[in-house]
Amino acid sequence: MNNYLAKSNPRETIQEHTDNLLRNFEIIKSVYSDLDINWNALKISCIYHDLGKINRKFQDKIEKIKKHKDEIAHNLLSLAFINAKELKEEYNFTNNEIKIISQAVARHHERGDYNAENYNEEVELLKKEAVNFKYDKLEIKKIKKISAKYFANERTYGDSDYFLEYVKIKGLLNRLDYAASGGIDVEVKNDFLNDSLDKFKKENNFNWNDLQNFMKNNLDKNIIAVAQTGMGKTEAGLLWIGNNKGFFTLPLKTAINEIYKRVVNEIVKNKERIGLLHSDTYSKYLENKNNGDNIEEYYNKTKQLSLPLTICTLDQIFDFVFRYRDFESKLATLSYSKVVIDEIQMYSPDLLAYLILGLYYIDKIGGKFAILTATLPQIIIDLMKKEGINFITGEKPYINSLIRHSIKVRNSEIDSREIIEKYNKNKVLVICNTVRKAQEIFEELSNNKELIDKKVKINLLHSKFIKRDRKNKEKNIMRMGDKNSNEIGIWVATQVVEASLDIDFDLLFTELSDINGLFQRFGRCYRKRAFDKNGYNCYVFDGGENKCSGVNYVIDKDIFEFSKEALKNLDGKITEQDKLDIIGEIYTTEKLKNTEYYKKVLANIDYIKTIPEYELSKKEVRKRFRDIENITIIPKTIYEERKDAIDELILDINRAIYNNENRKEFTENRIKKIYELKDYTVDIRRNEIYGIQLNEKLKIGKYMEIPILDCKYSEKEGVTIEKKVDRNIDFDSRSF
Amino acid sequence: MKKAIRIKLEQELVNYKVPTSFQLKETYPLPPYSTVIGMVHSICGYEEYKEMQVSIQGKYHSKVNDLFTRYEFKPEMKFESGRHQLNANGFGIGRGIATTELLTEVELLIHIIPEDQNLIEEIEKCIKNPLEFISLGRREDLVIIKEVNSVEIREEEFEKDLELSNDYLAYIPLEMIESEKIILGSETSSYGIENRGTMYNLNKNYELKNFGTKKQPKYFRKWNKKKVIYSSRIIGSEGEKILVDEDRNIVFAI
Repeated sequence: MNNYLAKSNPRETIQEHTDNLLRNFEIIKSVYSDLDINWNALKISCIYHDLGKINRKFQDKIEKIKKHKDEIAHNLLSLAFINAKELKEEYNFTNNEIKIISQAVARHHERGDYNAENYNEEVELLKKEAVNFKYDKLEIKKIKKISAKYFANERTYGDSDYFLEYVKIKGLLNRLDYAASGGIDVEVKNDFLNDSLDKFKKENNFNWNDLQNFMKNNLDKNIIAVAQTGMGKTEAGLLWIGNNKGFFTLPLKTAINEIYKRVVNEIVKNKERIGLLHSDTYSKYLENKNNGDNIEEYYNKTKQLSLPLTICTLDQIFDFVFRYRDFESKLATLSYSKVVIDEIQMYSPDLLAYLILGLYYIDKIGGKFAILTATLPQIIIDLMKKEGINFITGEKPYINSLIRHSIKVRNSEIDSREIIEKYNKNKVLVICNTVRKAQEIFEELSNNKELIDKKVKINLLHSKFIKRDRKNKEKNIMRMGDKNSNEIGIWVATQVVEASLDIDFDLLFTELSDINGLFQRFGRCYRKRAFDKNGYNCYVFDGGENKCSGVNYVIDKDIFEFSKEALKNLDGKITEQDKLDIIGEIYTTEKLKNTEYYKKVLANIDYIKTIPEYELSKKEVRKRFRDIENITIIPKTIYEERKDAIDELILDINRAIYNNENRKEFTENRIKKIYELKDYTVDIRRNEIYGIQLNEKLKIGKYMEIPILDCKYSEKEGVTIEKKVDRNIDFDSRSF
Repeated sequence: MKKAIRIKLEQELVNYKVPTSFQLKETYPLPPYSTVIGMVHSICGYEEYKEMQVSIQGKYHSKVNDLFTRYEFKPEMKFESGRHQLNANGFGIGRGIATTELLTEVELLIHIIPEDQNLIEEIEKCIKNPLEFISLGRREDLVIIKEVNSVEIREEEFEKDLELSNDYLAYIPLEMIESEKIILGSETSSYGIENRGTMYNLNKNYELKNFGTKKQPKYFRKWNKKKVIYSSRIIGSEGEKILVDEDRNIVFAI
């Protein structure tokens, strides 16, 4: 009887590790008992998945005796223990089920070469080891290369009859394996959400409204419902999720942080059950850390999707549509989850394509989704029908008769003079389409004598601030935008405030982008109050003879023209129903079918469909999914200003002292430092720095570097990049 | 209990011509059934068709192209100086060059299973003592016989997969693949292609059929064609009845 290790740090035998998987298997089986899956097949996959580790070469590696060049990956050797004949007799498995089990075991790591010359030889050698390997869960009777009938190094592709079955088994095997390795539970049961919501209702003494009741009455359906801001969409979504596993997706990190805070503090009142998942999860968790919290475990559970309710960005879960190698665990998890999608109109054509395909797969594999949105372009409904997705729509749009906005359209470019004239000690929000325009307006306002004399506070917010400044600015705008605050002043911003930020201003001046975005912008002004004065609170500048900034680049030009057309007859008060009608009129497939926007969505859907399963790696997909056009840089002025602090951080990060005792603290610390460093960075679109050499780079760790960009930076205005180099000038230097 | 003649042979440079290729004489990767059956009939001097099943497997090292002189003529075509290169008593012959594909270092394992099992001994003897040098492919493509045996063949079930040894490829009858008796191994990179390999529709034997009238007969050969998959990485599946010879070579009889 020898010890065969599965893991070296901490030491764990194969039997112990497998038992951990089986313990988690029981958890998932009891929590999600009505999941449509062959539980026996999953269990068998668990028992066999790591047996290949008994091979001597693996044991030598893990015991740090020797690394063998010709070691065969254990996931492939594990196949040799699968005795098809016996399993068929015992569990009545079909041939396809054995195929699924074998493939799940073989692919639980994407490693190894099944056609390696010494494969058969290594299988023979296993026999010697198996004599010393005892495990109470199975009796090893025979070891031989598995028949090609069940595994011949092939994969199960989307057109296979048992594709979804395979995805579930393989995906859950991965989940169980990760959970066992991470020492966490694979699933935390959701047995609290309904009660929490009931308590919340009683405490605040209100009744569920129509929208919320509609959601409650259709728990087992896919739903699309239109509801205006302030109708309690978050609660509606949570009610619909009920005591199930749920995901709540929103387009912006700030919005996610807000909702997370609300759910944790007001509704569920228990942090450990709710996950927050976006690219800065860890730093957010560190921020909210109380003494005694085990951040690493909490983070681990979040990352592995084990928590009953996860609030996340779209890209965290919907990247599976690329069906990259190892995508199965995500889709398998979604097969027993309910996904709520909020603010669907915020997504660009490419994200929309991912979303629609994602919903198609979720629907197919047995998960549920609900789309809750303030405005619903008809085009999305049509696209979903085209893909054959099943859903029902809300009985009616859930809106109230409160009139919040009175609109004045100006046929000119946005003009700071009017802003100055109308300021009158209000909270004023100015929204421009591009950073450049916002900076221009900000300068005009800042240099205005009248405003300087009145000591008016003028602020600017857009995406080109370093993270530290942006965080502060977001805090400040939230403070002024709080409905109970008496602060006054002017905020100039870009689309970054368009959705989900809970702010409430008195006056809005905005460039026209498109109707949908425009009404979203209205929502930042008189958010939940009735506008009972005369005059106007929303001024829209449609560019007049010229176009507004950013049209053609960030805004589809045809949709812009349609929107301009629709504004022509608007003047004065506008109801919520009016807004929906206008949107209903413009965003029809009929009207949009020739626009770039629509073509992009279709092209994206087709493109993703043509990618074969398993072609891409997860890394490649992350790159595509995140805006690859973005590059993270540190502005030179910031680097020079804070050189000592930054250099010290980099030293700390690169200092790889690391022993097992304080490994946890070490990682926590290192990540903390990386986030601190990131506070000095900003994301810039690549094409903006076309022709600018990035010679200086900060090397962080083995794989990361952050270039230093030679640009102007100020805390007030953010990054300003000098007008681009004319490309023709550059031509000479590139030709002989 | 059936018997077969098993021949192991080698060839240096050989062309198994694809019937429809002219300017470039293409070659099949292994000899088609008709070629092998023809070889047996010619060695034994049979004047009419003896019903038999054949299994062909093997490998070659590479493919090269070679030039040959090609003569082109048609009965009763009069000589024209602009058109023909040779004048043969007033008839014209065109002479030019063409290319032929040649397989190099071919190795074959062939099983021959005559319907009439009494022929076994006779065929074996003829191969061991042929009237003329044995060729397969073109007449100049000599055959080096390595082994000739009569072997027993039977359908057997195996406890474990039977992998075709020494990286041989074979013509696999379609029904063997459809019934999953034979499985084709694959590489990870075979993106979802379920059936690898090349399908050939090979000639086996023919009957003369009169397409004319009784008075003016026009005889053409009506070929009996067999669909096969030509592939590597051939595996006989465990637990299935597979036809093998006494040394566990899979027999792809058709």
